[in-house]
Amino acid sequence: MSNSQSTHARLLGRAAAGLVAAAGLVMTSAPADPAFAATTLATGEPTHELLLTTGQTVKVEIVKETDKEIEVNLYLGSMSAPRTYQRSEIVSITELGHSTESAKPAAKPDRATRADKADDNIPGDALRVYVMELDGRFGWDVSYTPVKDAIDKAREMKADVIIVKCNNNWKQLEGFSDERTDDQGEFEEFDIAMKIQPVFTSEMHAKWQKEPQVVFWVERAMSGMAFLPLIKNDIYFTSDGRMGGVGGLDELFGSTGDEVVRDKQKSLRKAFVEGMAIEGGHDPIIVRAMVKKSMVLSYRIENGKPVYLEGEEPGWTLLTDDGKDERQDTDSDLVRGLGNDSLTLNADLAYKLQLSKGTADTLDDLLFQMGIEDRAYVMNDEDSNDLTDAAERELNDWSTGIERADQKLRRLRFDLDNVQVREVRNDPDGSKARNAARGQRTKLINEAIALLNKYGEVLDPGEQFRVQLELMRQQIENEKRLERTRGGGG
Amino acid sequence: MTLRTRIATLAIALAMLVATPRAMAAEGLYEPKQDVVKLKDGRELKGTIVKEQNGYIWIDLGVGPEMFISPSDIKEIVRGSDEPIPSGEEATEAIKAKADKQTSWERVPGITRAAVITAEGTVGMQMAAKPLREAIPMLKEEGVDLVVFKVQSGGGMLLEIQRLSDVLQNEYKPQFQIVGWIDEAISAAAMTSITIEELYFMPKGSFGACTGWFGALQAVEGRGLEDVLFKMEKISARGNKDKQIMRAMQINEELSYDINEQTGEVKFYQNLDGAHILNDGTDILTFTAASAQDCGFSSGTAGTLEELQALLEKSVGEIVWVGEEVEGIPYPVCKAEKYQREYRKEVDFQEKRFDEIVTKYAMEIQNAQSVPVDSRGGFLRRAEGYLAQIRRLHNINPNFGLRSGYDADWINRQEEMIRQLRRG
Repeated sequence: MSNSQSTHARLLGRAAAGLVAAAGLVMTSAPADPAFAATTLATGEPTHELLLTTGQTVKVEIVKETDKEIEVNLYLGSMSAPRTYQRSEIVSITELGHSTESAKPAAKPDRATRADKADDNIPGDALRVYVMELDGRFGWDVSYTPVKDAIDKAREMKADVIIVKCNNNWKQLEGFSDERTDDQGEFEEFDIAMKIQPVFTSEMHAKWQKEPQVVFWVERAMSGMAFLPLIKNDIYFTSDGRMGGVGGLDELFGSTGDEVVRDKQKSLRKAFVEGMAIEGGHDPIIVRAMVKKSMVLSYRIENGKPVYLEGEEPGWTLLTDDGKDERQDTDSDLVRGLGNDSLTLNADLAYKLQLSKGTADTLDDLLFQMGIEDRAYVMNDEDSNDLTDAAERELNDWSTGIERADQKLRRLRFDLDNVQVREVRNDPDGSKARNAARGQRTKLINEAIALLNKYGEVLDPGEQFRVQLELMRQQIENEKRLERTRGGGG
Repeated sequence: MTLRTRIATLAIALAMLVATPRAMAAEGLYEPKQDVVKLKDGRELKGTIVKEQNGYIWIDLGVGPEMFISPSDIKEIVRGSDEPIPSGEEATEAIKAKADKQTSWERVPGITRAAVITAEGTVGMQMAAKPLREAIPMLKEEGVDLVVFKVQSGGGMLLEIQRLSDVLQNEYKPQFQIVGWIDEAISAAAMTSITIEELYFMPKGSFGACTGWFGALQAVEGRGLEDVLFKMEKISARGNKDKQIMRAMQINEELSYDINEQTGEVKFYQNLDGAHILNDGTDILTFTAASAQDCGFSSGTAGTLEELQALLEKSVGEIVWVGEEVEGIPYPVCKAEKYQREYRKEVDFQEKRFDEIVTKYAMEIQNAQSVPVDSRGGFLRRAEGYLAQIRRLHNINPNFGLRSGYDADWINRQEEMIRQLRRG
């Protein structure tokens, strides 16, 4: 590498986030003279993704690591270039563990490449089935970005059928089997479902040439997760499946403000969630009974179809009462999952109401119920756990990443509050020491902002923390300038 | 120039040197007189800037139509062109003249040219009368006959309802056939959209919940309420909608209806006499796609553009959609729609940072006040920079900062204060 080229590489590392992209422009439009520039056509493929303190993420192949720095091949489009990052520039390193689109057949195989090879044997008339599981905490592990990424992966893999297993964490305590009761769900989590649902609706219309069949398979779809399966017509349950725990609409906002405004807020929310059911071709009255404790709903089967009655009459089966007075669910009912103030569906009831198309406890059973067992090919399931590995990776990487980011943010906050001005030699007025402390605080702020850039949708949805950090950074700059102006050195 | 800017400029310059073979330079592939717009995503666009307005740039890249760039995407502009950059009407005329030459569409008798325009975000901010008005020449330029307003908004500012309704009623309706396609029209968004006679819903669409409120869920009452109720009677009439419907969306008022089985005509009652009840008087009405269609408020339900087209073609005949296919957007993007998207992106970006900019401005003023007059220059220059940003936001959308009192008067007062601080 010539001096100018190495200078170029060094400068790129130090410059702001946008410059990496600028380098990308240059690299991708570089002439095909490999001797001319440090950049070359990529022959390998990225193995890791680095999240930098600038907020930028870059895909790299790690060549050498020391305590202080990491030498990598940086990948931009079809080009790669050697690059050295200081550890202090890196917020996190994530193993990619799967091939990218730019990978050439000659590239070294990884799990996904090998799996793709296996998938090459899929018969032409087979249905390519992609299976993903939305587990963990709704609004934390299950959020817009990881779900979108997993569905994007399904598109890359040309899935014909996407099975989305809903199994959100509904445990009382981590590691214990006792589950929360239906009245512990939160209606307001509908907002998270609203944010995720375009991945399966409008974005799917826009991105897919031929839309896949999306099937929701419900084990636990409780609290806000309960709304998500409704957006599709194909819903199946496991035999112990449950969907609901969202009966808090009537109580929303308590006694805050004027009743007519509370009515407005409840009305628009009810319309949103009913709209999700209509989108999926389900009767919105079921959702109304799920969210409103005051609603009395009965049903009976006429000509093989469920018919609903708002109220209670002989010959009809009561689904939900009005939850008033002696009809209010008792603690005894609630802990046993037998409450009927608001509707929580189990496998049997969901099937009777024809919201569920069937009950299946294994993937084979589900494919059989769907009538595609003889044509279905579950893609990229090397570990035979009935989940597509690529989907698992996308969702697990997010869960791991956000957990780490949360811990790191707490640490950063603590460190930020505890930055000390330490004495420095040859610093009679103390300005060097103060500036060193300012530099340290700025570095911590930059790291925190980088994390929020990636995980802000969960950790800082309103961006208040990021704005606070931006202002702190500005204040530090101001302190430095003020000190200089007042002749305090620095 | 700060050290960071110097490094950035140097790095870009070096990157160009590394990437550009001397041979290419010798061949003159890089025109020294071209304008260069450096974007935040790292791209550099070389060409001739043909128009600038409120920070927006139109650049002629030598191929295809001018490219429109939002100020939020621009990192730096390096001017190389000797020609003066036209602005305002002159530029619009110049672009129009060029566009006329470049017109690639041809009117085919019997075929309706339709375009989708999205109205999204907060009413008064991202969803505002200004960009809709400014889109009209673009629609005309592309020969659009039918405009589909795809609405997705949870509401916003009361003051923008009349402006939006006026643009639709007085400026769009005389020039185009307009229909609404409701994804989500809540509160002020519904009160605006009801100006349109022909409304279609997406399956998950919702429309209503128009109760005016402020603070901690406090209802607008008294004269203010009567004022809005009356305003909405007039706007409902523009859209040929029964005024009782909107009333049941604003206050706890009963609403029911009957359908004449012979004629299909729907009659609404502001009581519970009708066979179908929409509001029992204890609620606020919000339509779903199903309830809106049942009472004839909606002309139909369409989840995709193809479904909407099938519904529309029943009345207007064959439709051709105007615009380019863009990955990730489920309808063709016409110039007017592209403009709406850029506008929203800009407002969205700036809205999130508005308070931050105001706070940074206040910090610089405080700094300036804390040092002697002859040391204030740097702080005041930076304060002026932030104030210029605030003024620019007002130019983009006058509603910026309205609720916090950072209006045009406030800006003028700040300018005067800076002058005084400079004088000491």
